Amino acid sequence: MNLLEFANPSGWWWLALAIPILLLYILKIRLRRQQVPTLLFWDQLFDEKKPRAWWQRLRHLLSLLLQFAFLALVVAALVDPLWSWQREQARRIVLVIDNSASMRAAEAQGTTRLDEAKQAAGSLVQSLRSQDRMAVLSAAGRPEVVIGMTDHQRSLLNAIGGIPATDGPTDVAAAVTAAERLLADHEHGEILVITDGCFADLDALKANPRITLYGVGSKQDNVAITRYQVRRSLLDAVGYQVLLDVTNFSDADKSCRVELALGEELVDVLPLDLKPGETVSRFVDHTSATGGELHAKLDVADSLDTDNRALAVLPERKPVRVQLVTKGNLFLKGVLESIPLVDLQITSEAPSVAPPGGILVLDKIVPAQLPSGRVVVVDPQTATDAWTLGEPLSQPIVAKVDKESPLVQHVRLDNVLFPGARQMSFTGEVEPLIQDPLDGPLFARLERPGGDAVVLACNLDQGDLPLRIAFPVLMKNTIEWFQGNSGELRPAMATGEMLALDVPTVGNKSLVANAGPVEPLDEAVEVQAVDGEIRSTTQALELVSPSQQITPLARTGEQVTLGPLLETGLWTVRSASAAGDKPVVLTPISSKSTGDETNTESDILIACNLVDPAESDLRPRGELAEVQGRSLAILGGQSLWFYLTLVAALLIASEWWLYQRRIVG
Amino acid sequence: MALFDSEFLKRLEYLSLVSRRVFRGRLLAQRRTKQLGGGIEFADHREYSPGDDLRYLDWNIYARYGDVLLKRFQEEEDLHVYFLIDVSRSMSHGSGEKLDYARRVAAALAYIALADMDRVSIYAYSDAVTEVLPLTRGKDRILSVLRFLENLKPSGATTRLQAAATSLVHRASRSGLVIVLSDLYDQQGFRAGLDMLRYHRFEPHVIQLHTAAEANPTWLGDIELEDAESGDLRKLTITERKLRQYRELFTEFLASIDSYCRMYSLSCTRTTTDLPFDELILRMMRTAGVTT
Repeated sequence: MNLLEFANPSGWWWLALAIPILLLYILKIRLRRQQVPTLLFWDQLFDEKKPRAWWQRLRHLLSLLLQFAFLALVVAALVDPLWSWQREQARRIVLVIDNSASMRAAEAQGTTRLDEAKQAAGSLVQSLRSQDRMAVLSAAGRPEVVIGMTDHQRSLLNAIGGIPATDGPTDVAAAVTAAERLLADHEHGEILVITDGCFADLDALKANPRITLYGVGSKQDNVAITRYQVRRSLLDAVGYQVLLDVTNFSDADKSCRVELALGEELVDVLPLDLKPGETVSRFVDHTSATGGELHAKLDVADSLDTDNRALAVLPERKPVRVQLVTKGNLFLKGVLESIPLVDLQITSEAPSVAPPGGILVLDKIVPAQLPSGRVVVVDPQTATDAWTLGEPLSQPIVAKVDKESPLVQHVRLDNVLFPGARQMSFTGEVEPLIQDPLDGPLFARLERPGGDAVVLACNLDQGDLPLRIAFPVLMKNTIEWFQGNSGELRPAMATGEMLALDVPTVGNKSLVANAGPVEPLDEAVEVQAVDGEIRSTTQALELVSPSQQITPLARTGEQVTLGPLLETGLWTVRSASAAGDKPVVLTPISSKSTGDETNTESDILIACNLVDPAESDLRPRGELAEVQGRSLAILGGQSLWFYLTLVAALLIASEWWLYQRRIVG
Repeated sequence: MALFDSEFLKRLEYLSLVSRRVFRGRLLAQRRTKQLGGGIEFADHREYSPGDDLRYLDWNIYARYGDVLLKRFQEEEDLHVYFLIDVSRSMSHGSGEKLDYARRVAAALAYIALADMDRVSIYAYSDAVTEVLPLTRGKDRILSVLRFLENLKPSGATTRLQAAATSLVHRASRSGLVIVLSDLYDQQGFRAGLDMLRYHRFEPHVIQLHTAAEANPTWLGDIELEDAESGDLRKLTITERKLRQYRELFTEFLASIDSYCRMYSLSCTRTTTDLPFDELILRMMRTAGVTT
């Protein structure tokens, strides 16, 4: 095996420059001649230096030798000689840079931890030996190879400079796994991790001899929102509930306030007193029919701002059309009017179908063909295709209530008579909810292909049911059950989580979105052009980040996968605007709707918050090595060409110095 | 342009008018007086300068006034004026301006001497005397003098003033004033030649000529110097430091001439060829107190 190899053997051709140097040397020694009247003084002057006469004779030759030596050194540098031990000891280094949310924490110098990490990484890159190769990985959310194995320092520096700050969680372990995969079984492989140490499995990484952990940042106090969700109330159609956790990640008591704002409107201010390490949970109930973006903001000034803000999407509640067909029933009219979001319309003629997206309430007047759609029948007087009427019940008293059904939730019917109730025989599937002692249904739900129906067998004019609290509750339950969005939740995601949208294939009109592995997003969307035409559901979709970065969404079969989302704020899934000549909108609709609603809203909004105690805790979990001033180079680690160039530079400087003093010619 | 044109002759006439009795007891009267033994006539005082013979100090004036003055005397007889003109190749180096300058100065002084009825003889020399103009007298001989000077050619491979002086003292019928016009780049040293003249009671007057370029060369770097006389070559590397040393050496050389002349009370004039020759003559006269 050769001790010395040359990376660029063609560089030897540069030695041909020796020929012109020699020619110039020969030409140079033909000195210009100057006649003088006498040599008396010159002889006297130079004869004093006679001991150096032999040197004077050699000085031109020495100059030539110096020039040859310089040329030889430069050519030797050009051919880039490489010792065999250098080649064998070339290292493969994977640099893992933590760019998680905690790395955004501001330090005392006005920089962030990520800035410090990048600066330190730059120093490490510049100290690489010439035969070493390095790859760079980022470790927020899913590990990402920023740049593959290379020895080109400028590319490495550019790649490190381009690592973005994210709000994602730290996943150094996954990054290290990826790094080990990159290194494979390389003998001189090293993994360098630059992190703030704000993750749990620090000790496991430190135990790995291949890994060197470098720390940046200092211990910092922080107060953070660690949980934030909002959902529609289970009891109130326009109500909503906010769940909020705030944690104190410091060693001192903290007092702060949380401001809740729905859009621009301030909703609530919650004062909080937090002990060290304490997590305070708050449940807040409020009402709003409009919905929108519900912001939470902590009024503390700490080094990490991302976790002082949180966002959730409150679903909007739309009015429901209720058509009451009656010849005059003040009880029923009053109750329906009192139910929120009910847009009541009173008629005397029963239509053949329920209003689109609405509910038809029939008071006594029931056509022979029960109208399709969602129908509530009160005190039916005639038989229909869905039932037949029998004899009046002898004891129309409540004997049995199906307490599991949401339709009779919170309804107390003790000693309540249902006068006028008659025996009913249903032709289809029926679910009796309230029954008399002889199992005659007093309140029942009919399952129909064209829409469920609810029947209440009671003459409101005769009994005291309308005077009981149970009646408005019963009617409210019925209307809200038909609306079907009780307790609707659009969960706010945590950064780093994935979201899967189910996309049916061509021919199926609906697009069902499920919110990630945590909780399902119980929502269906439909792809439809603004002109009402149903377009192909293979329509391209795109994801718009809070910073308005647009990413096309790739479909995998019937699914579109989003994430991991590494930025807090409001994400939007929308159809790609450039997909066709006609704009296409995505419309979230109720899963229980009949699908014939008009499309009003276009995009799916996804709130994304940090809510990660591991990231918000800015106190390192263990001791880490100091990265500032570290160097990857060792003495003699530079390639041989570097030293040759150095010697050549010294030589040419010496030659210049000697020439200026006429020591060489 | 001819060496001695009509303009030159006019200048000679002018110099002759302003320099009456230049040589008669004015230049070095003390030597001449001593040589004659008697007939001493006090002529003038001049200021003492270091190197003057203390025997000619006017002690009475010193005792009375404290002024240090030298007594000067006038002799009455005609004077033999010999010119020793260096025609070596060092004098004709370059455009030959030194030789031309020497010839002009010699012509001017010879004219003045002839006008004063002094006897003039000219010896051209390099390594030996090459041309001789025998003693001549009378203003009408000036043309032959000029012709002789005009016909002088550079010659010789060295400069040997001693050989020329030896030849002069052997040939001269009697002692007199010897005006040496040379750059004094004498390989054997100029002192031996002047000593020879002094020993034979001649009165040497040295006019040392050089050019500004000789005093202050500007070449730098590697160079091959050629001796104009011998043709010898020297390969040298001249640095600023060497140039400085050369200038110091040249200055020392000039100072050694001054020192020598002062030591033996010889009159010495040093000039570069930049100075017009008539200016030089007038300067010599002012120094001698002949004119103002």
